[in-house]
Amino acid sequence: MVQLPRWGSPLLRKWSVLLSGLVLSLVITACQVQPVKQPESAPSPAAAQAANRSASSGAVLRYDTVHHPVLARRGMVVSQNELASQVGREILEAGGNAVDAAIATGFALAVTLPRAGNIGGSGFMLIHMAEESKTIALDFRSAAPAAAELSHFKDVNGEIDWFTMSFGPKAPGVPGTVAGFHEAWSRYGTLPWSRLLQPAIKLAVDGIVVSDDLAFALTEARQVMSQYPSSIAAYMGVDGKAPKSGSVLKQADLAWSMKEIAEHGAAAFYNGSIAEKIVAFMQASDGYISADDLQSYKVRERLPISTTFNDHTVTTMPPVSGGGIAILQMLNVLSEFPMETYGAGGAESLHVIAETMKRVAANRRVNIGDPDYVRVPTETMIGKRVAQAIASDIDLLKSTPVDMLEPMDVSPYESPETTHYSVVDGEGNAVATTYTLGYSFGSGLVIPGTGILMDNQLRNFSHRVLDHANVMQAGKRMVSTMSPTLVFDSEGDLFLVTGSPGGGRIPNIVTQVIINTVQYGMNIAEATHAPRIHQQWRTPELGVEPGVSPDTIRLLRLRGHDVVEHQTMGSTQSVMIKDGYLYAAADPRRPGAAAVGID
Amino acid sequence: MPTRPSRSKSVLLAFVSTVLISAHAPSWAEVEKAAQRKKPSSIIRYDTIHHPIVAREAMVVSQRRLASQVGVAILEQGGNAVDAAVAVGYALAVLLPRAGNIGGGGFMMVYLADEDKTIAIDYRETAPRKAHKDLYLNADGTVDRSAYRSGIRSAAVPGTVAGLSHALEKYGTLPLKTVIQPAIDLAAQGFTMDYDTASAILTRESMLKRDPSTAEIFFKADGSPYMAGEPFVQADLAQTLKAIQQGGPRAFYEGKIADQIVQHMERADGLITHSDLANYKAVERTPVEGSYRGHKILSMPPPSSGGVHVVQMLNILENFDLASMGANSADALHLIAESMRHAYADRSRHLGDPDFYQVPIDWISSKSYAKEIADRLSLSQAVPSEQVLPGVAPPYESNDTTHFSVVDKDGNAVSNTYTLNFSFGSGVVIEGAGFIINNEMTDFNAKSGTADAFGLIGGQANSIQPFKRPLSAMTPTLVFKDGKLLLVTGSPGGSRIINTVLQQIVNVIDFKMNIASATHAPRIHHQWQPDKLEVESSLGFDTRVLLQQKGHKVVQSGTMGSLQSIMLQDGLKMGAADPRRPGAGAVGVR
Repeated sequence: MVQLPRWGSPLLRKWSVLLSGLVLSLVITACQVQPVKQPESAPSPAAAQAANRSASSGAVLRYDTVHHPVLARRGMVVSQNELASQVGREILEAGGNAVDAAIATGFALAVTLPRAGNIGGSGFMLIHMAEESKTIALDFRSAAPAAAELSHFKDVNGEIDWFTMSFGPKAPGVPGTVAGFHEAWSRYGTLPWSRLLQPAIKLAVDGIVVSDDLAFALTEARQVMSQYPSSIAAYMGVDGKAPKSGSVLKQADLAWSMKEIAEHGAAAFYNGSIAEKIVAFMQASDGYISADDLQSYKVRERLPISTTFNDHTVTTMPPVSGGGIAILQMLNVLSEFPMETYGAGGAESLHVIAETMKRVAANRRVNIGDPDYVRVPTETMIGKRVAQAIASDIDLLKSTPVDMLEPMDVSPYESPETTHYSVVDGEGNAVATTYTLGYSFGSGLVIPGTGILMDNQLRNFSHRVLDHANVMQAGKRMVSTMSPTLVFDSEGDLFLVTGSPGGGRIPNIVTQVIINTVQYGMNIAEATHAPRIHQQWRTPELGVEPGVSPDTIRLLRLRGHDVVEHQTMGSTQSVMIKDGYLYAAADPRRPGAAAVGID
Repeated sequence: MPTRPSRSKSVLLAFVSTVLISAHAPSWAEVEKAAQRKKPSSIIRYDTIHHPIVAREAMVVSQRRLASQVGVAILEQGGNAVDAAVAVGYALAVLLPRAGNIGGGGFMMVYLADEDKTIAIDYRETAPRKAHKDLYLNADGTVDRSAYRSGIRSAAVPGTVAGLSHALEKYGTLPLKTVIQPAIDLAAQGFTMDYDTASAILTRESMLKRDPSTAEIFFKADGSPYMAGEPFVQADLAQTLKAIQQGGPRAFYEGKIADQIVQHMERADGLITHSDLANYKAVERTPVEGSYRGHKILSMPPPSSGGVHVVQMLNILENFDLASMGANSADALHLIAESMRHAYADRSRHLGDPDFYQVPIDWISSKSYAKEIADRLSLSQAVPSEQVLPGVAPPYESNDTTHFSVVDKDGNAVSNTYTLNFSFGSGVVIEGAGFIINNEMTDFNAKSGTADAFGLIGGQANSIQPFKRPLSAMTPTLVFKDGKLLLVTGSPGGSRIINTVLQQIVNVIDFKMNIASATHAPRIHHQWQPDKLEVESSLGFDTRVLLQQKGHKVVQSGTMGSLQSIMLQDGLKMGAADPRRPGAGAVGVR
């Protein structure tokens, strides 16, 4: 095989633009029967693309793009469920700030999007308070119950018993969502706590109309839930079957739990009537979570991590999220390339992005774990030196086989069924929340009498390498890819609030939204709709969503990529702030998402 | 290529654990994937970015969600697709004042499921009696562009009220009184001004402020614009709609509204007279029929050029295996662009009002003629337009038309495109009547019968004559598969309409896209002259470069069209509203 030179050095990289253009021409010429005439004096396509984007950037509404954001001036809520977005708006209109609205939206999603919205799960919240110009990161990730040990999940042959680890009473971590929301409210909330639960309680009592999407999801979940009568009672019809589209789903037990939380605060969940029910059930069914585990659960405030990208500052979730580090690493690597000269969505651009993804994924989480238990070299990982080393390893003309990369990531499968929502209020305060039950409907287990679905996070500890930073320990939090993210412009003003579900794909998804907006100047709707790619290092495939041009796929294959058409990736819910307007985009990939604004 | 042993071991380990995972507890992603394999027709699939709105009974898709809801309300009252369509037509006259109208005209395709019959209703505007071929020529023979393009002298006799009543009386089930009521309420009580409408008004501020009768409708008393979020009431329009409610179309063509129109015409040197209005008739025409890879296509015949050329282009493309080239690949788009080039060259020469000019429909839409063109196409090289059979370039056609589609529970369907021509038509609101009159005269060739640059006498087909209907590109279309209705579609977009509808059909039939993906997919446009290939911003970057390499003059343009479509599949109605113009909505029943 011919050895291709490496184009990593800065000098050579400058030439690479010309060279890869030449390659494209050669490829094209080779594919054609007749020689082609070069178009006369055509401007560079990348320049034309960029010029078009900036041509009428001053206008509020532009008709030169297929997709348009939802516009508002005084507030915006974007979530994966329209009813929940409306709840957020209701709270803003009632005088609440972004934190109030985010909490209310979070509780509402537990009712309207039960596969991922939750109070029996966990997540991360980035809060930006405009007046203080301060951003804090709340970590309310699930923690391992004291009694849980990895060895308990191994069978006689030492193999993991995946079923027990994924479903039922042994699967859940100690949930963090209620504590997280309460902590956010006690620091920055302005409305009474109980007011924030009111809309969710109403939705649970009155019921929600089951959409085609929810009916489909519940049909798929029925098999797992069928082992727990309390779960069947909570979500299935009297015949035990999944509710039909158009029927009404009421959640009386969940309403009771939320009323308890409304009245007694987080204590109801961790040290009160709900805690009693959780512990009683766990004891009766050989689960792990104890009264002690619940009482000792604490929300952690973390210092957000940042890097600069194209004159913008990207701020995201630090460990125990592994996603934030990955996003910053990728942006740092991409900063080493002349991305502005590559056409958005073209093979040159996607090649560099894919090569970056696989390297960052390979080096992602070996060192990442709960920072209260292990030392995480965050600063080193998001430093420029690591980025330069990775960049210089990338061959602009040729995909590097993944088995040539160091295999360091041994984290298990992560479910794409998480959910993200973004809120911005009229004062410019913003909240980005990503939270999850793990799998769709988590462990499938509803604690009897509470209507609360428990997550299945214990499986997200490392279980193959025992000295891994992410190995299970009492009270420790398992690594997550969830990455709520904020981007600030060169003036330091908040520019973008974003995040996504998608398990291991989350960092790649969020990174592409940032590239599309910050680098390629797309509006937030275009950036959200643009087809995504995903590359990790454990498998050689470069996944592309439908919509990536067949020509681009061909050119990527010529560079050695094993391109496969992939299911859709993620569900970003984002708000962009520009010229005093809030521009929002709900992701079309999962039906039912909506951006709702206030004028 | 050497790999270290430890690495292959780790890969093996990863592989083994993947197998173990699937042996014990399939991930939800795997469950989903398996479910999709088993149930290719399941309603919810996560393998495409865009999803249609799904309903079991009925569907209305229009450029205003509120108007679609009006249509649904009529269906829920027991109305059929035609009743709902007429209600939507009137509602859009209130909610989308730039294109929805009672002062314009359009085309409606009606499919009656019971009789398996399709009717094409032509309610295009007609030239007033006073019009003649040199109407807009200055003394020196040049075109008086200002009179030709806007203002009251550019207005032709409106057809919408007659067309909607024709459809309702012959094919509807509810009285006009009922179906027009929601529009009256929306005009009288007002609707919340949206960013899209506010921005459209501001863009046309100088035109809309030229006449006081127009300015007082679209601006506040102090001349300031309505902001998004503010209520927008149209009291005069409500009165006019009430007059139609009480007097039917006669109120418009012979009664109080006719008086208002003629008074304004006489005062402002317009052309339309009482007798022009009284003589206006909507006409039923035989739809243009074509076939494409086993599907039947029914579309609008002349004076629409749309149906004929959609069929012509599909006939050309049928000679190529587009599916194997890939959706929106340079190879497929090249052939589509070349088909467009040839069709638009023919359009420039042959199309006009069939009541005045013998349009060679059968020849243009024949498989044999298409084969001749297909045989001449190069797979790798664009042919310059000047080498393609010349005609006369058609006049500029505005983007601001609007389309809506309706399917009811019995499978009846309406595909309707109507327009004021330019955004806000002539820019003139008939004084006291609250509605905008069209500038449809602009769609005639203002200068014809003279030798053009190619030495040919062209454009006669579309020259100005009294009572004639100007050439239009509006292309309401129905597609059938195995005798069953598959697709109801149409779009605004001026001359781009035809190509927009073409690509929708190709995306659905060749590339098997769901209706939402087909609607979101980037579009291209070639219209023979000027010789350039317009592409939307979301078209693949590499594809553009490759198209340039094939000799196309690729230009990134604004977005094209605004398709409002319904696809019928597995007993479900799948609706997709086009995202290109904000505010469109598909609303289903059950």
